[in-house]
Amino acid sequence: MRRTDRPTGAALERTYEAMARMRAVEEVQVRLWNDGLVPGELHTAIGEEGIVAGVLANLTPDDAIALDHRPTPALIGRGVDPESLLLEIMGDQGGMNGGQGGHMHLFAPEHRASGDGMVGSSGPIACGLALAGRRERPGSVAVAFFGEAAANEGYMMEAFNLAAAWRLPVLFVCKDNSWSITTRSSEVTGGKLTERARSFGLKTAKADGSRVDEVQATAARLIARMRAGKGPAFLHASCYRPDGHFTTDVLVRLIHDPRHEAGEIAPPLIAALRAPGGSATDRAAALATLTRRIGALAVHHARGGCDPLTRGRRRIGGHTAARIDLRVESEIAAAERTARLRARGAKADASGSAPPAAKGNHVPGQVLSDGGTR
Amino acid sequence: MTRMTYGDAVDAGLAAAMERDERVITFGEDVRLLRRTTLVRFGPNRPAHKCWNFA
Repeated sequence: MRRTDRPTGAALERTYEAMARMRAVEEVQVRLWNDGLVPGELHTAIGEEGIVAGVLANLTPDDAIALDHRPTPALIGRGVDPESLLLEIMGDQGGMNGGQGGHMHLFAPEHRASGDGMVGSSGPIACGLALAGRRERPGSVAVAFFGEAAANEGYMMEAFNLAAAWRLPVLFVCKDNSWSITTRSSEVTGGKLTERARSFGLKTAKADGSRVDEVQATAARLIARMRAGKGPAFLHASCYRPDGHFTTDVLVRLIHDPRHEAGEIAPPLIAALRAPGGSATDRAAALATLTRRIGALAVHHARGGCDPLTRGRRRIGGHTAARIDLRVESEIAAAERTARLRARGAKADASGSAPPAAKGNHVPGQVLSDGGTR
Repeated sequence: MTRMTYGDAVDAGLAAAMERDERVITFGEDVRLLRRTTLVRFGPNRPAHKCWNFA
């Protein structure tokens, strides 16, 4: 791609501001989760902002988006009110879905956007959105955001097929961080994803997800083609997520602070080694397997990756970026304050009268789908 | 009644089944790390399906 195709000036500043807003809200989510105000796991998309903002910059209100279990940045980018989103993930009735959605199932029909925790579901959902859009809003497109592991789900491939067969205007955006939780994606993926998409008849392109200007320009080309009725496309964008699979992922913590976290991980392993089971040779092989895998994750995180916001700041200039950051931080801090106040009020109401379920609120910390002991 | 996390309950269930019958194996995405206590207890090479265990 020629550098002259990439956005500059005010266009790039707008995209950077969107990224800064996405990051700020995600950081608030993490703080709320750490304070025990968000039930269950929390999957952030910190590190994916360059991909999300770069694609969204090319959409109009008539377009629709289907999201995965990391929906926050895209919803914020589409204009969802941060306060209503924060209240939602805390299970508050004042949240955007009445406190019933949880952070993975956020739905904003007024912004034509929805998230779904079923891995790979954004593909078929985007096909439905594109079909409806073609009938009701000709020229509109639908976008499916998903990770590279989701590309191996059967219904994602059904979605590729349907979109190609019906020439649906769907942009499949694969956010590839190269790890499927703790499994290397390359170990469970046959062939190349772009070749797979091409074999279904999709137009394909690649982009460095840490360069928002590159993503924006690449998505612009693909979306213009789709609006012209030339069928679906597949964008493969690489990224690095520093937080791992979910917030306070114990393996990421182990890598960053081994001395402290070993105290949590080691006792159950020692107990397992003492329990009846395999031979000493088998157990030694198991420990070697475990160590190699943790080592591979450690290398991945030690190498790290480029932060899309840092790169974005360099592109638009430090002074301009600082001005934007200040404005965004102030706005999101206000949303955090209000959401916290309201959550405290709801908690007080719940403890004083009806049980939480009757009020439509979850009880933070009671049910942990990851089996964690927060 | 024993109180444990979901994760510990999964490990306990797997261990009980694998201890009872050596043909029982554990395989799947992420089991190598997420079911690590089962891994270190029984090893990565249960004889029945060596290539699948802890894939």
